[in-house]
Amino acid sequence: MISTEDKLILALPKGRVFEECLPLIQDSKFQLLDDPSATRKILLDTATPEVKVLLIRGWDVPTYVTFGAAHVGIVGKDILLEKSSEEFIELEDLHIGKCRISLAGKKEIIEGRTRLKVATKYPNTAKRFLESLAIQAEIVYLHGSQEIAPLMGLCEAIIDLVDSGKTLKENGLEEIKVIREISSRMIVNKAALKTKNVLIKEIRSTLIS
Amino acid sequence: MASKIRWSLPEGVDELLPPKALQVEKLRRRLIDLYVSSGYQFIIPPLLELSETLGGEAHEELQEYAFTFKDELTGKNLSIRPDISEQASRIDAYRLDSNDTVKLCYVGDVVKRKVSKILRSRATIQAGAEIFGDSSIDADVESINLMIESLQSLGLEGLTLSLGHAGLVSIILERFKGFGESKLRDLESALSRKSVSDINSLLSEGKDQSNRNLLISLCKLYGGEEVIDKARTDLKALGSEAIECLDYLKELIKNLDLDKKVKLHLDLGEIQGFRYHNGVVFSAYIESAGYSLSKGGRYDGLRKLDNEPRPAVGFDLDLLAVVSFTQLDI
Repeated sequence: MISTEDKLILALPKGRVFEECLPLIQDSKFQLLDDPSATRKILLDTATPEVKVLLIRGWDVPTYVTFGAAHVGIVGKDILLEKSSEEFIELEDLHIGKCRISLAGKKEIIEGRTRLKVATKYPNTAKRFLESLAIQAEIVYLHGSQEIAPLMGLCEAIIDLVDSGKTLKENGLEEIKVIREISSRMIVNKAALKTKNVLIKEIRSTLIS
Repeated sequence: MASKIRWSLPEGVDELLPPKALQVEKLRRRLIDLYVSSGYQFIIPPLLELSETLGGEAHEELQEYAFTFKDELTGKNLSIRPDISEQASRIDAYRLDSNDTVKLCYVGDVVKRKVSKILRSRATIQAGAEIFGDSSIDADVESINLMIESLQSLGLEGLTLSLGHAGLVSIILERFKGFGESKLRDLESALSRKSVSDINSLLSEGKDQSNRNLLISLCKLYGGEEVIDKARTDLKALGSEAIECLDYLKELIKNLDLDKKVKLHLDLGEIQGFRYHNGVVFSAYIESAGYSLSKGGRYDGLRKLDNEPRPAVGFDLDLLAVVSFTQLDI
């Protein structure tokens, strides 16, 4: 629940996307006052006193924004596709954090298949994709290092984010099919879009400039 | 010390203890007094309904939300009401059976099968007021003003009123009927999230450019009153029916005579709550709550009277959600 009236919380995901977000807000009125690499603070001040940046895991950004505990968030479309039942406005494609979500395996494995065992941290996307090919999905949920799972005999294929494809190759996997292109999105709490419209417009134009 | 007995309630169900229970009760009375003194008749519809007749024209939609179980006595399926406004419309059409204007109000328990995503509750107290048999703009104005007065009387300050038009949204979505139910749902979901990029990926380039552009325009039509004039240009291709919706909103705002403390917001792409809304839709917000505190709209024809769609407009609120934001010392 938001306790700070007239304040706006911008939730940013830790990691690579955050690094790509920084240049967008530095030199703007939402510039961070603390050096994020030097502080362990999670809630950071910006040059605009009523706006604070919340630094959390990408998977938690939609949850914060849906509840209105954060008003604006930046998060990858890969996560939004999994959290499609949450309620928020998906205001803008920021064209950062670009990569793709793909099916990868040892060789051609979707031809003529009716079932497929895949390791992924994207069970909804995996199921939707395989269903569209009329393949029944057997999902093995893994938090990370999916690339090694086929080699270890845990599954036949994986569905995961692919950037350069180097990790796949090094683990003997081929990118079999691109499921969809991914980029980071600016999401907004439904109520905040109405009550804090002016401030949100400013943040939007800062992020897409 | 005696060990405590572990006690739990069903998921999404809470009980009110002192002092909050009395607070809620006092606010409940305050609302009933407000509605009755404004000319609304109080009704107490039952907690249980026969499943097959639940919801009138919105039967399928309400059925999705309702707890349903078998009545051992008759073998029929029963549903716990997920909504009272729908019951009020039934009472108006089948019990009171009057061609005049009927105004009804209610406060009571509602139970939903699914846990609400934001409030994490399945059972709450719903309060509301509905006007039947009056299709005039005055009825819409009265309903919106009473919604605002309700929240103010519960001690909520700094309200934002959001207006939209369900008619406008359906005129646009109608153009995508040919794509089939599943794609239409996806488009509706993209519109409700204002996701231009999802609309672009759902509607491939080239085919149906103009309809796609209309849907994208609708995503962007939110903000102050100026949105209506922008919509006149952006949605011109939709024809006179859409322009009528915009004219109606303009006229409505003029008639509202809003309290200066209430901020006005327009959101023309808003898809709100139940699908049975077909005219103006409205909702109220405060800065410190991440969700709407009250919602309402016009839903002509949910029930029929002498085969004629019965005009209806009204609003309701979740009393338990609103109470946590009250500034009143009660």
